[in-house]
Amino acid sequence: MKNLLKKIPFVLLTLSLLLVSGGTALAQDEEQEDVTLRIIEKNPEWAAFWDEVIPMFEEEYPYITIQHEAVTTGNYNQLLTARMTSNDVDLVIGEFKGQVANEVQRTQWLPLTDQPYLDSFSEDVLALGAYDDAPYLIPTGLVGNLVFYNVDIFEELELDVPTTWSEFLEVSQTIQDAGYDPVILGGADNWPVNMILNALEGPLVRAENPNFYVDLRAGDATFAEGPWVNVVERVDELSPYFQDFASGTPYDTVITLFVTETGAMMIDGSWQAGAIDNAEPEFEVGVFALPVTDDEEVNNVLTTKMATGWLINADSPNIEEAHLFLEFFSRPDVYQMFIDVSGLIPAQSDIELSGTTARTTAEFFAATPQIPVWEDIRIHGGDYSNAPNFISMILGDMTPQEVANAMQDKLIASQDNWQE
Amino acid sequence: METSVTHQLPIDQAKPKRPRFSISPAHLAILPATVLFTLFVLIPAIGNLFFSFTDYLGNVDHINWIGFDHYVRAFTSDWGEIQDAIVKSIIFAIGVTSIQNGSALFLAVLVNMKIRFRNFYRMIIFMPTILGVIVIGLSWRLILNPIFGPVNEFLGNFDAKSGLLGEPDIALYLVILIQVWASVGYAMVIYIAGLQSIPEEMYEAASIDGASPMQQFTYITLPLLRPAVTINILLSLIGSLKLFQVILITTSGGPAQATTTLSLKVFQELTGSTGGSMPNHGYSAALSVLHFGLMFVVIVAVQWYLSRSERYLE
Repeated sequence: MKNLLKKIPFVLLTLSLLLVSGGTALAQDEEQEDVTLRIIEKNPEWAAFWDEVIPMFEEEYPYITIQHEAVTTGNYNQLLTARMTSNDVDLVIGEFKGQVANEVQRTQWLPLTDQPYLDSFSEDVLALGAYDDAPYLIPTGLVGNLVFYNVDIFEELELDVPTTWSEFLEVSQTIQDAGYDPVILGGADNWPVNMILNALEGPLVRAENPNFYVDLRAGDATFAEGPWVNVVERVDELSPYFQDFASGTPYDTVITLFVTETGAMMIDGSWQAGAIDNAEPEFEVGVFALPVTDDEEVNNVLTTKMATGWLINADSPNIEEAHLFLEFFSRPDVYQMFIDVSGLIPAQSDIELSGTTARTTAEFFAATPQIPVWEDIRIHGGDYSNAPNFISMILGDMTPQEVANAMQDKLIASQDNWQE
Repeated sequence: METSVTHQLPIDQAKPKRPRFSISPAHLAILPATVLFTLFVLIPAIGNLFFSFTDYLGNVDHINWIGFDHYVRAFTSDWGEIQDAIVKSIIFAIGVTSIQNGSALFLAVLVNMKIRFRNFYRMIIFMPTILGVIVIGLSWRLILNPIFGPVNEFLGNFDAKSGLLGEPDIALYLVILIQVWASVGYAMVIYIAGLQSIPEEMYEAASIDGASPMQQFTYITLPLLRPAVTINILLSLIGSLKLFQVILITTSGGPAQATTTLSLKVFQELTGSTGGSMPNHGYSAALSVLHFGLMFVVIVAVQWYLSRSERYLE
């Protein structure tokens, strides 16, 4: 019965996909010596990298043709599922929390243990994409949640970079009194509020209880009490300092508000460094870690994760060629080209960053202790779609305790999907 | 000598013998559509129903039968959100259907009059219909941007700036207006076709009898447009109940969940685009079955009511 259950969806999906593709898969000549390496990813903005790299790779390996496809993030999961179900892809972009931490997804990918190209990356970075010491992800770069700030506004108002939560609120108040928006939030897209949570959680939750998520699974801790309530309350305390109409501001507008000097600070992802440089602001940009508590020592930490990484389809008929591409990608000169286009914080040493803000951000990464973002260590498979409730709280429609209670309720409701 | 009597029907009363199976031209004509419908609608629909009883998360090597668990979840722990999404779906559908049909009928009557440039007006009104949903969504997102958008700039002149799509109280109604703007031209064309099928002589006779233009509209135009009204209302209802793309692009279901309809919820569960949960194909399939149920009930009820009204008028 179980085998039958497994086969029915496979047959249905494969039938549909074969029909849609006009049966091209059946028409492939298995005897063909040439290999088509099929790659999918979700960053159409990396097109310039592919335009350069594909001809270089194909020149070095004339028998391999790269078939590359990039779709937007919103369409990517559907594409990934369809291609994996029909085994119509060799190399994909994925994330630790989505593809590796989750037991159901993990079995689809090839562990990359002992591959020589792993030496191009530090063990610490590879550990962010490993499960049970087996590396699965070859990193594209690193990301962390930090505060970008307008140095000129800080100097104009004679402000120092805040090192405690109280100082951060005082600085925000001073900025607001001077007529600027202290903190810019792209609330229309809901998810940007998660970046604030990511920055707040480490020093507030794990600094108090390093085993919080183990206790949460065991039922000995809850979102509705203790440190996570403090996280929610911090967001509530920040609410008066967001710009007007923050709940209706699209995320793509945030960068404009920052570079036009309407807003003084952005609590954002490090990937915005490249976007800031591209916008060529007429002021100096600085970065600091959001000071979450009133203890400076605890605050000096960045929550980071692997941005995304390459995964090899374990059932791919072209595993050898996929390894060849990852080796090619890991070469310093090729990776430098990739970083130049993507603007990510590099996962290799000795990579130069062209933008001023990107360099400042990378230097800050190098100088600051890091801990994994909570998204990578929480109970995988749980439902954490809480951003809409945080927006409700920012709008004044929910209290912090109601938001915390809703978080716990969602997590418990998704208990059947929890992964080990 | 015995005489056998056989009771035979007269030849003209005998039932013609029908071959047990025959392929008529009509069968052949509907065959391609039936095959395509079966392959691309029926089989996927059955597949979707199957997935709704499994814990399918996108990996066919890990799939288990879990019975009604997803449905239980939808009607228990998630019921608050689902109920809210159903209410939003119904408000959205009623809003789009009523405003779209009212304005389409009004515009159809106007551009059906013998006025100059009426083809130009028809083209302008119909134009949004041919625009892609991405273009429509992004354009309105820019127009209604609360920081840089022209609408808020204009409202600023009256000290009436608003969060627009960021205001939970008005966001859904703004999305309704966007959808009406995008599809009113299509409904208008159907109404124009209906108007042009009404014989001119009826208006002439009514005019001779002293009927005012309003009376002519009420007692001639509206009753004879019933078939067009029925088809337009049904198309609008079906379209708006299943529509999520414009909402996704303009508001992503926000602010908070102020514009999250059931169809958008299905999509969010399928793609994990709520930003905090993994794609859950099984649960998404279960929600889509509920969504189908909602649509089925609403459409059947409305169609029954409209058909009854048409028969009554006849």
